Amino acid sequence: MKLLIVEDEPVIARRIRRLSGLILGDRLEQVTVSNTLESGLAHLEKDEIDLLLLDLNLNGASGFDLLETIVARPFHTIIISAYTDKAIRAFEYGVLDFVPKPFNQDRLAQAFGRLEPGSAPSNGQVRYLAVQKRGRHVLFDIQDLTYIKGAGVYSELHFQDQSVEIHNKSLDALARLLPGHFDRIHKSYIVNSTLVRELAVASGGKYSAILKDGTDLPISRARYRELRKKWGD
Amino acid sequence: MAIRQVFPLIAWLLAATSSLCAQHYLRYPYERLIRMGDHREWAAPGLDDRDWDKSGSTREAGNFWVRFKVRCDSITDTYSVPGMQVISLGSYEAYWDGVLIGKNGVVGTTLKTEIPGTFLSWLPVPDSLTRHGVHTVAFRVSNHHAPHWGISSWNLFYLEEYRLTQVGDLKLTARIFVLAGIYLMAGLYYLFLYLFRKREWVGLIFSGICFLFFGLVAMEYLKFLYAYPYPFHYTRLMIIYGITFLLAFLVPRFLLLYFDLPHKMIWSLVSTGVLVMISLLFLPGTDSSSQFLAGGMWLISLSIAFAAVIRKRPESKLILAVLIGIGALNGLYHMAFRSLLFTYDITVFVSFSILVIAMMYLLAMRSREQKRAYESSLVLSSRLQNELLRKHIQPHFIMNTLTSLMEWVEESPNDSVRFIEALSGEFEIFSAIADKKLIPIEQEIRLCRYHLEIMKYRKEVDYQLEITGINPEETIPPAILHTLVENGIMHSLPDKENRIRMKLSFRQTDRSRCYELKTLSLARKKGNTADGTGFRYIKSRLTENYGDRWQLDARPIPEGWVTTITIDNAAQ
Repeated sequence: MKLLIVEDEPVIARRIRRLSGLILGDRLEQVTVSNTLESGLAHLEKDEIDLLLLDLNLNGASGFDLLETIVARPFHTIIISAYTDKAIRAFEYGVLDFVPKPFNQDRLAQAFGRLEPGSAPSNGQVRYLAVQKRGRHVLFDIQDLTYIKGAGVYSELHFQDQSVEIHNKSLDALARLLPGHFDRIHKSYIVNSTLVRELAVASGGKYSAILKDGTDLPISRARYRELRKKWGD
Repeated sequence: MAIRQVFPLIAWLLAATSSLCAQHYLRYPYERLIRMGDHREWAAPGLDDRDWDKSGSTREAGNFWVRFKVRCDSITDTYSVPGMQVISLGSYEAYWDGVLIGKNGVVGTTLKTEIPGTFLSWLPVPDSLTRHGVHTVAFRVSNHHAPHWGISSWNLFYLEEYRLTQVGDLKLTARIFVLAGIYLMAGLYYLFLYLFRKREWVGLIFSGICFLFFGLVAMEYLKFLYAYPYPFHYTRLMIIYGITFLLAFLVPRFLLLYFDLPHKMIWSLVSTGVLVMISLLFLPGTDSSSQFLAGGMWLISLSIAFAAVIRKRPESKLILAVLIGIGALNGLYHMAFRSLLFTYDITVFVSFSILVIAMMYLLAMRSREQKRAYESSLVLSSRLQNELLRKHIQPHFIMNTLTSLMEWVEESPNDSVRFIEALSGEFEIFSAIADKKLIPIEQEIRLCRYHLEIMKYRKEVDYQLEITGINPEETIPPAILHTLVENGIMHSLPDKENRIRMKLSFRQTDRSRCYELKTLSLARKKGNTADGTGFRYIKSRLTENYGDRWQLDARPIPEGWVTTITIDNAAQ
């Protein structure tokens, strides 16, 4: 796993690096420390990473402006900050976790745990998904989402107005961020369950969810029973 | 609301003076003939006095006679006891149709042989002498005790019910003295206020005005309470003149200071010039000279009020209106009363009373403003105290410090102890200075050193603070240098040897003292501006302690950044 730590306090950066090593062990492939946002972003241009550990306040510069651009990227972001009052806003932008300072190894391990497949998703407070469009970043309200279709390392965001946007995070990565009413119905689909009109079973044991606008999405056999229970038939 | 409370007082004042309008019938023979010299036969009613002086007064000291014609008719028949109220600047013997009816003092031919009579005196006139028709009243007068500075002596009388005016005068005097007592109290109150609460010139001047006004009223009405010998009359007039002069000087001064107009020197010179000119043009001690002084004061005050209205000073329109009102009232009184004894007294008394009430209103307004300013300064102080505490417990500082501390504890326990010591040192000073407006500079420097020690452990940069020329006796608002040091840390990059050097120096001149903090390092791209939160805190603290008598300057220099705080010595 490749880590980027953006932190202007050298002792704290050293602490994050040391604790990450203890938590991840052999899985840790590479750690880079940047003490400014600029050098951090420069690193992102050159190298791919799996996880960004970001301090929101670097020498007085607010990290929120850059958070928008960062959450559109494929990797996950964990905020490590002294400003716990900023946590809700950070979650709204789609960060995986918010670790308040001061933190110990257990708390950092818990944050890393959210990366594991099958782990509990983030607290689902994300409100926007940032999409990179022609070099700009546009925030979309997830309330407008109908469903998301996985497309390899990308995802297609389908909106109620029939528009489609491409997100740089994989369907798996998005699944960790989205709130509870977004359900994984298939290897390649996440649906906004508030928009499901009915479940249908076609001949040949083909299961599907029919949405209010008539869209027909496949449901994998393995998930059908679970979903019926959850959605209350 | 103040206006409404003042109205009944003005109404009462007007009622007190208007009682003078209630005319009782009296004869006032104004025309009189005067002749220097002393001959007993000048008392005779049939004397041929056509060649006597008609001016009715003399500037000479010596012996003279004054002759009047007075008519007795059905009006004088109404008096149960006819009598004369004589106002005389000289000792006299009074003859009615040649018959001696009374004396005042002893008429003499020299200073030694004359015994001064009183200024006011009352004589009964025998019934047998007041038959219908024209009578001759002659006074044999000596005025050896009159001063020799050209002021005139005269002698006149009212024919009336015996001692009736005296009763009326005493009633009026009683009322006037009640009001005079109010001014005495107001004067004392503002004097105590000045001595024990706030040393403000306007308050002291107002107190002086009240005392002087009390003195003026007391001197004016003394004649009805105290039958003084006539030579004292001149002294009394001079005292009244002196008081009027001081009032005429102080009232415009009060308005000038209250409205805080520019060019005070020019205003003072011009107004003093006007008053001196009036003193030169009119003989001091006469009623007209005092009247003109009061008029001069009114004009100067009116100009000041007008200038204040142009400059949009609070309450200036009210004062202008009051002064115009006083002018109108004076004109009115002048037309309504022609009584010799009262014209000056009444106009001055009423005008001054209105003016003094208006001034009291101004002082009340100012007091309210000051209370508000004081309250908002309290709010500012508590806000700054709050800011100072918040500064220290703000999450960025405290949480980052604690996170770094955790790392030191886990990795290097020995160093972490020193880290904790520095942190507790800074905490201790912060809690000691939180509620102070000024602290010793030495304490502030210790605070800075603890802070740099903490930051050394956090940032792993060698912070050096060099201090030159600091006088440990000095005081400074809390956490000001600390804020500058904080800014220095935030906006600087360490040099090749991983150092950030700061130099704090102090300079004292005759006019000001000056703190300068130089940060010798590479500045970050975002330069520190003089408008950030830190600077706002410094500015508020400086304003709280020194008003506007300070400067804060921050600018880049080739080797880094320099911030200068200059405090005027006068602001101490």
